[in-house]
Amino acid sequence: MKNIEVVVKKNEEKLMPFVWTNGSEKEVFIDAHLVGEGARLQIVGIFLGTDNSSIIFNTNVVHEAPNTKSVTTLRGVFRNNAAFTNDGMVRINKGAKGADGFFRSKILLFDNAKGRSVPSLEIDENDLKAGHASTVGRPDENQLFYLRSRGLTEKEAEQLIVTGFFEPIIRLLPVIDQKDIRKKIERNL
Amino acid sequence: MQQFNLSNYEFGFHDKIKPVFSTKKGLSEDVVNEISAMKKEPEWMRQIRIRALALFYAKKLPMWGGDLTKFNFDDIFYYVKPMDKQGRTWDEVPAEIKNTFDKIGIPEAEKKFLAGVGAQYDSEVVYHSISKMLEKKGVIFTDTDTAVQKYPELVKQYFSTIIPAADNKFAALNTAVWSGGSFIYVPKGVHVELPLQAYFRINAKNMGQFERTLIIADEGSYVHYVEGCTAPIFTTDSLHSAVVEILVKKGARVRYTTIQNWSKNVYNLVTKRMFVEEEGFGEWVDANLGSQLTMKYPSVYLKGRKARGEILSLAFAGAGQHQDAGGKAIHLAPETSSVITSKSISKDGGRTSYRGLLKVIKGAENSKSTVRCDALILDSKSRSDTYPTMDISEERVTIGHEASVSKIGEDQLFYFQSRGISQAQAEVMIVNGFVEPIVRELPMEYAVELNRLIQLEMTGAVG
Repeated sequence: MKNIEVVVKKNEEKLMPFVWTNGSEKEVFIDAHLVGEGARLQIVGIFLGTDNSSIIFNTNVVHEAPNTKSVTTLRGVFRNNAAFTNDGMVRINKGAKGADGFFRSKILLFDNAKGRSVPSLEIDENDLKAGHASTVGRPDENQLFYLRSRGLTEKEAEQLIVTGFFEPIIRLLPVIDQKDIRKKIERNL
Repeated sequence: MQQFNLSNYEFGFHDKIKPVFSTKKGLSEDVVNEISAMKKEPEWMRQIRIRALALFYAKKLPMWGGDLTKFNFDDIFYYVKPMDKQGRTWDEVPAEIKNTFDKIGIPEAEKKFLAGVGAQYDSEVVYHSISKMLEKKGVIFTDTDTAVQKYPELVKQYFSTIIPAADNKFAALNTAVWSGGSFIYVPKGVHVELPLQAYFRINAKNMGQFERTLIIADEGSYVHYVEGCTAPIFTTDSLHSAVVEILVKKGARVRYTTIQNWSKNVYNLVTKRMFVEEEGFGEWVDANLGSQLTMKYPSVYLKGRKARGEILSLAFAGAGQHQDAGGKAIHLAPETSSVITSKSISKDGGRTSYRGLLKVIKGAENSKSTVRCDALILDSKSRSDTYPTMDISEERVTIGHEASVSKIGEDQLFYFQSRGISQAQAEVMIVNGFVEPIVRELPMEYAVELNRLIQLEMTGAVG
């Protein structure tokens, strides 16, 4: 198990990227604390699991100071009995006025893949904004149909959709890394 | 419409009622046998109770949710019978009991549009009437005690099949000491157009209320059941631990509406579950306003192709209250769909938690589910949590979950104030607007009552 501790101090801004493509890590826990006023944290997780691989990816983001902001964005594609398990906690402590915490995850499942997700909120302050949004499912049938009708095979169509699915989240990362990540995903598709 | 005055109705009224019979405080095999003997039950029911009692002792208290450490199972009366005979008509009901119901507004409700009223006072149903029309259609609407005597075959067939006694500690407790509750059977193809209603309240000090409700909607039938509770204030803790089992057969539809307004010392620990068969539709509308601690997660088990389930949950937690509510949707068949909508409000140090489960098993392909939870926190002393679990083992599904927590927006308040509406009034209007998606699903009288209760909670007065 890999434990990653993150502390974000006053007016600091941190980006925590995490890219996993059938990696050796089986369990990852990110424990993040926004301890100084105006601290900002962005967690970005990209997951591509195939052939019985699995990952447990848990995040705990705690807002301890006023005007702190966190965004956790996860996107994953899992196929061939791969499994994804995720606990995503956003906690806003008393006194963290003006805090803004958001968690979002989008998971695509193919061929007997499984997903388990618990996006949680614990809020002890009333001057705040917090939320989460999670979806699990297959690619849109209409998108697949559209691509098939343009002469693509089912495999090609799915690949194109998966590439497109990751694109918005890749763009959250530094430009310098984007090319490598795209390559890594293509290799694993 | 004559309205009962809610400002005189601060949950605290308490009639002096002498129970005809009550068991000793605490729980034992003797107490369970005594309850069964008092009810002159058949042997099979006594055995169900005794088996459940053993399960109750064996099961552990849940480690999650609300704080149950202060609760003492030995400090409770498990059975209190308020009077010997069941009242057939309203005239036969004793004046003091009637007085209590008048304050809640039961006769009004009945006069208006309700088909039958089963009002539970202490552990026994004291008044029960069924309109001739329903009887003619073959609908059975009675209390569960009577059903055991009159329809033993039906009860035997379905009792404890949807929620087995071994499900959890409180389901086991209820199965051992249950008393009262409603039994409804709707025959094939029959539509009950009017909502059936029952009103529950706890009234003897330290009294547990363990009603047991069983609803069977046969193929293609429809019924809407409404349950509401209010209770007087006591200084010692009371327990309400009901079990509600509902079977929605092929193509049938059942809606179960609850407004829970127990007084603020009550532990409200309820298990509610629906099995929905092919093309059936099961709905829970669940509003929790009162009690010290509520732990209640109505669930739909979608067992047949194209079964649908919907859960609307509303929670309001004021000072000293914890509402741990939510819903569960279990997709067990293809093309099933579920919608869960939760709205919660916490105020004056109250705590609301949404706890939910969404499960799709392998093979339940083309299932759909949408979960939406919104929470409002009205001051900095209060707390709100969201714990949804999504467990998906089928890839051909569309699952979405969204949640938000916020305070009343400054811009919204500013808008109202710029139009000459005071902050207090504006807050009430914003909260009423926030809960509107759920309130509009309630029968009209309940919607009126709920809006007034929220106003009362927000400002301490109605008007």
